[in-house]
Amino acid sequence: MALSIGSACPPFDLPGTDGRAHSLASFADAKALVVVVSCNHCPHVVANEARLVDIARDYGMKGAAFLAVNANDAARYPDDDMAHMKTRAKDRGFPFPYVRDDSQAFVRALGARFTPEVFVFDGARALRYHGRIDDNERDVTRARSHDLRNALDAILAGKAPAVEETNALGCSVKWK
Amino acid sequence: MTDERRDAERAEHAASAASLAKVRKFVASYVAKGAYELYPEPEVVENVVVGLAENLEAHGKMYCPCAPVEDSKTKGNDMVCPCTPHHADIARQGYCDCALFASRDFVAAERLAKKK
Repeated sequence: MALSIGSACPPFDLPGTDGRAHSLASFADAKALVVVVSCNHCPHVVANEARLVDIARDYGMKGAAFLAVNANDAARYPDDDMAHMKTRAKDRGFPFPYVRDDSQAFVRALGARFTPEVFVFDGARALRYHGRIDDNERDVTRARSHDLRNALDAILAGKAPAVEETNALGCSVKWK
Repeated sequence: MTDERRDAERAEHAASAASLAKVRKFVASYVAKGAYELYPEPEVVENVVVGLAENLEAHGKMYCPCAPVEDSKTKGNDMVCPCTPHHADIARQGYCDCALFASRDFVAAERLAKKK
């Protein structure tokens, strides 16, 4: 089961495509931390990439930090290895760290099951929102519920999101 | 909302009602065989059904929506639902990679966890 609302962000220390290690301490100053369980090859991830970059740029200016983490078994899915992740991050211009969770320990601790699946932690790093980015991955202009944006608006205003949990829809995390 | 109403809305920009009906019929018949159940979250299942119908319409086969279609096309029918790896995936993690079909044990465990 996924981490329950109010739970602390599990610790992590993971290598990024930028050649640096990223841990909870790396985001100490952020007013909110958005962890996106992601990957390279999933069509659902691809469909959400541009809007995720937009959200990260919009809310980065407001003090939120973003982290994308790929835990897919790279032995079964070579497109998800670090080399391909580096290419992906560069080609797509990710404005956030894209890290590799080879042990899958962090993503398991989150209780994530799909890609993309988002976990939003407040300034004290307690989970305040978990689930989807919005309610229409096929066409963002038709989305009626912008759940991640709504959650971030609330958290950055010091409030609890009106909707704390939704179903993430996507590909399954490729477990070892 | 009924399946018919939902299908009509989606038909405007995604799969046709005919493709959706074909996929729903296939999914129901596969589950009826008894080896597996549906993944125990209807919204997740519905998303997969729509993805399969979109691929059926656009590419002529029910390619798994959780894999890049162009890659799948190079693998014959391996990634056409029910895909070749779904048995191994379900054995390993309880559900197929698209989260359409799941084992009985997984579904029972999920229901139990939700009750708690």
